[in-house]
Amino acid sequence: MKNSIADFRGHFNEVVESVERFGIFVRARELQMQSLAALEPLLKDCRENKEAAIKNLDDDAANAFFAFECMTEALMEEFRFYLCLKDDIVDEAWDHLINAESAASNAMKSHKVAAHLQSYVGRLHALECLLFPKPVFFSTGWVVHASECSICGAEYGECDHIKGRPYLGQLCARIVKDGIVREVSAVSCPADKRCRAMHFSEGEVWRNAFTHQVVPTESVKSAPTPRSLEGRLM
Amino acid sequence: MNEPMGLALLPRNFLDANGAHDLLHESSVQTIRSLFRQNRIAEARIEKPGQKIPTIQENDAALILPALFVTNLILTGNPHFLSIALNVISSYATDFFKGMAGAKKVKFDVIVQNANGKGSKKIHYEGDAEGLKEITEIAGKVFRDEK
Repeated sequence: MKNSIADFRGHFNEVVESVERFGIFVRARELQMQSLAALEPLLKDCRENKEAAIKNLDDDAANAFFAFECMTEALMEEFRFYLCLKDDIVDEAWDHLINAESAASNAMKSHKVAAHLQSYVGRLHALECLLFPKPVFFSTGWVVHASECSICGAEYGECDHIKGRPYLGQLCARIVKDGIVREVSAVSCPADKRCRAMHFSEGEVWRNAFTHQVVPTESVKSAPTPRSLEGRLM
Repeated sequence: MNEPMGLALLPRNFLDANGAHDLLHESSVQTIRSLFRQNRIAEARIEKPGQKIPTIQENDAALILPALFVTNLILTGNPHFLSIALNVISSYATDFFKGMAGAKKVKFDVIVQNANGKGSKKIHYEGDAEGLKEITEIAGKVFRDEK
């Protein structure tokens, strides 16, 4: 292995402490861009250490480095969120904020090195509630006939891997292999907050759900894109 | 289909389905089954060998657990069995919400067979993961009151 978890934690904390004071909306744009750039090599370090731990079949270390990787991603997504807000790219800002929340949650699920993140998750959630109106979320209901485990490829439920738990540097997921969409519902608490109404019509015009700016009808009609079919609807 | 016996995980629409082809398990059923297996909790499946019930996956943030059916024989002969099963479920629910902000809702039904073996009572739970631990006591009380 390249580094022990304890050694790496020191390096990780050093980099994070050098940038975290810029993780506030009003900090200068260029300082936030520099912070984002400073986190790139840290992300690379996390991944290299994780790969080394995977190679050594060291489950605990692989999960710890994956948690460090997720924490770094959360911070990077938070900086992207501020930068997009400053550039008035509100839909992307939302996606980055939600990605930051997911990354922090994945870190906490992966290893105890991220056990302290609950207040950070709360802070991101507070930003979500204070800066954005509550979106109309959607949730798809599926009838699933076959699904497999992302870790071993066996039929999910027949192996001993549990969805959402870490195994050698990755979280187990259930991959739907055969399913039919049964319904799409508007919900207040979706599993994926990127699955939301993006536009609404007002008379002849369409408006952005967040900014209320008029958006060209063509861009409304062109949504969903292939990406949006996975992550969002409308 | 087998008649529910012992400790069984029931499909969502077990009571009102038109037939076996209509049944739908909650998507969490496979996870709970794996956890039961790992914790040596014997589940009596209602599916016959080789029979498969599709699952319904609703991408809502709530954790919807499969209904747990418990016979009178378990509640009289080995009440700790239910307690262990509920602890496993409760611990999974806590893990499920780790790192999540906002509402953390669990939906869970426990169906307790009456003491005389005829009919049953349903306990419907909606709340946080912590509260799941109280269901053991409630189930025991429902069963004792019935006696």
